[in-house]
Amino acid sequence: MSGAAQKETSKAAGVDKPTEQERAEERARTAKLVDRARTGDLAAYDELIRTYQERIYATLYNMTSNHEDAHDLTQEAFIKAYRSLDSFKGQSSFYTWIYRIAVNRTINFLKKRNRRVNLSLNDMDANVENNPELVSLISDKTPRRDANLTELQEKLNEAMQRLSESHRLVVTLHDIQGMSHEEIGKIVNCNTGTVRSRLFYARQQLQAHLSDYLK
Amino acid sequence: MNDEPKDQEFEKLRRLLELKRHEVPPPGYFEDFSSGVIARIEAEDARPAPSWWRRLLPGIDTSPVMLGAYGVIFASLVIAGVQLAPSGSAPQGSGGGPLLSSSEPAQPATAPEAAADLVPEVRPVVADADVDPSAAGPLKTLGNEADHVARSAPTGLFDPPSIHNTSRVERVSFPANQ
Repeated sequence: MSGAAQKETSKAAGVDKPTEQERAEERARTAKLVDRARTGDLAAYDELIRTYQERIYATLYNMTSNHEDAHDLTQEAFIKAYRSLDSFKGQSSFYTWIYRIAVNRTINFLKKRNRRVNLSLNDMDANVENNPELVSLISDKTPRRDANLTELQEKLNEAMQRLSESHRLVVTLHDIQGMSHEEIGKIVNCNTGTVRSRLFYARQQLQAHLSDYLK
Repeated sequence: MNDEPKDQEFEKLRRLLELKRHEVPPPGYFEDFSSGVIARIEAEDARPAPSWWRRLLPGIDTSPVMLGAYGVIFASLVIAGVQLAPSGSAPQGSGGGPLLSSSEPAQPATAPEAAADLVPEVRPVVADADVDPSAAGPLKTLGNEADHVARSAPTGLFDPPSIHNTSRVERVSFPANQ
């Protein structure tokens, strides 16, 4: 499949995924930035941070349901990655490598964190009003939409926090971040079968916790 | 695809989870994020390198179970150290208490007195003018025995003083013209 055709297919599926050519260009650009950062070029590392900060932050936010924790963990992950650049051999992509660092640190943090979870949720962006699926889902259930959107957000996050770290990670990466099973397998360091089974179990759990909102 | 039936089963859940994509940090949050990371890296580089034990500390597990284990290990080491330490020759019958002269009332010693007890007293050996040389033999016992027992000094700072009656016998010299 050509790059353009592949992109069209992705767009039709509602997800704007990069083509192979774009990925190759991205890898080459990242490799140059990593080489420069290894020599202490902080401007190059700044560019790398800007490339991945939103995706890493979003993953860690969905893992912790806490903005402050996600902020600290994302910063620490980038600092740790900078200190470990010499150990990055390029066997996996920089994206996968830094994701692994961020995810491992977050799982360690969550294991040490008190069982009582303090939610510190971000506000919904304005685009939520433009998502017809979400609007129908919310308005079906809730006459007072503004008040209940917040309630729904809290219930959703509470249900996520009731999952184990490994199950929450798979749901976050697949159903929220839109990653493929293969990409998740590389990050979590397991095969796609394990990813699929964890995803299935996590969805079952979530469905049970959120049954009132899924009728 | 095998996943299609499963995906349909979870279709409503998937739509609900999409809500989380709209949870975003405040506007402008990511504009300053990288500069915060770079500032922290520069600050760490400017700081002097931590000593080896400070680098070791973050790696130590501080969970309650591990802290309890550290405590047990430390206590075991202390007990083992106490038992293996070379024990001094404990005086028989003293009960481990302070040694006092039998002729003196038991009073707490002040610090200078206590220190003086640790240091052997230097007493000049002189011939006693009132002593009848005919009554005294060539050898003379010096001082009160009880006093001597109390004043026998330890050999080391932490060694208990010996209470054995080690009366010193010294040779007394007499002037040649007597």
